[in-house]
Amino acid sequence: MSTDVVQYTVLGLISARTQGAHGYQLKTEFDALYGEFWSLNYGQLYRTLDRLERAGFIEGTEQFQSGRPSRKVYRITASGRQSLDDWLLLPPTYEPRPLRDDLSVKLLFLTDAKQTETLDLVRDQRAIYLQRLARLTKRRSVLEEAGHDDSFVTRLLLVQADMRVRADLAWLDLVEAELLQRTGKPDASSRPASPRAR
Amino acid sequence: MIRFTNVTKIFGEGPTQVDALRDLSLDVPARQFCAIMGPSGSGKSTVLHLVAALTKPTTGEIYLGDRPLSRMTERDAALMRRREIGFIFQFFHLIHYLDAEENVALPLLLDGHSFGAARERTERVLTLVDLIHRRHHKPTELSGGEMQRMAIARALVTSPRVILADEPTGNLDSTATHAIMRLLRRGSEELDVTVLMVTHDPVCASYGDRVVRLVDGRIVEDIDVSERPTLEEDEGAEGAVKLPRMR
Repeated sequence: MSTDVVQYTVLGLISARTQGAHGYQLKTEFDALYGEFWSLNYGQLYRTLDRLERAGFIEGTEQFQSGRPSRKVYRITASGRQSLDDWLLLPPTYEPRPLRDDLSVKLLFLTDAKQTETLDLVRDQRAIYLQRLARLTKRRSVLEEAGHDDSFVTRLLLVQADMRVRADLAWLDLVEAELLQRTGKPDASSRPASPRAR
Repeated sequence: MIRFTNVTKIFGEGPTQVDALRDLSLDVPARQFCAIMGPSGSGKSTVLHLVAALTKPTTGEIYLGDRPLSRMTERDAALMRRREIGFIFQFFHLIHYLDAEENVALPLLLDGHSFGAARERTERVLTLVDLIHRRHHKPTELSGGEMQRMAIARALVTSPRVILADEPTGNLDSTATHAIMRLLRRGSEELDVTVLMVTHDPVCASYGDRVVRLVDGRIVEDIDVSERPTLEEDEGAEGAVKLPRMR
């Protein structure tokens, strides 16, 4: 995610809370929305909040809590809301960059001599995608059973996530099929298939 | 619950010989939900047919519980299919002139239960799949998702030990796929059923505990996907699992 997108995502999350939001809440909401596919650590979040505050898009007030350190609650400002609205209606500029993940780059440079090892890489990648997808699926079930499936945006984002993983996995199937065709062996793997735990 | 030991299955001979499974060993413990994936022709469906004793292995043995299937007579195998295995297919295989209740009750009636005895069980599983309000509808009066729910109820009505599912969501859209898979998952957990499901759809497989991939009749991957996130992960945050409402 580019800095801009992160910034507006955080701004959007804050805008949805009229009572304001503190860092921990924002992190939780960000993770609930994107957590399976994008990670935002506390460092990035607080840097983003600083930047938004310096730009005058949000304002933070210290909130004292008995027995615990005080925390800062952020609310969106009028200029923040204006900036968010402007950004939302800006035509998309995002260009997909398929060669960003390390497996794609490795495939560029791996030679035929290393086909067996390449096949292992492809299969490891598939295991990671499937495990992620399973976590996403289970999170979706937890949310739906808790009655939080009523937002159409949430539903659309979950469908998008499914479609992306399906596409990634379909591509890995293709890579595997082509590699196998070159080696001519279905089980051309350097290791036996044993239950692979996370 | 289901165990394959060094199973080979060869169809045909000579130039038309097809090695569907090659020295396959697989152990699916009781109550596990195991998805089988792989390209077409990889032997996925053969695995299901072998568990149901609809075909015999060329070499090797298959156990259901502790019983080797090779020692079973045809009659025993038919009884086992009727009482211990529930089947779910891509195209539902429902009987079109019977209503939901009758379709679901059918395995019990075939097994000699009275309609009265069958009714109680039928109502229970129809409720479980959230189809009780459609009990008097015929399959043609229902959506694809509802027909598959009816088929799941029919598979569960005998309280089988094992469910064999072949592309259960192959014919459904994304929303219905999730709904069906959630039901199958919940139903199998509530009734302590072991599930073996063939699918080409990773989303469908992601409802399992385990994904086994076959390529050319061999297991090339065996992936544990059973980790479950819980609401507790987010405990401490107010409105932890509430997703933001975006415009």
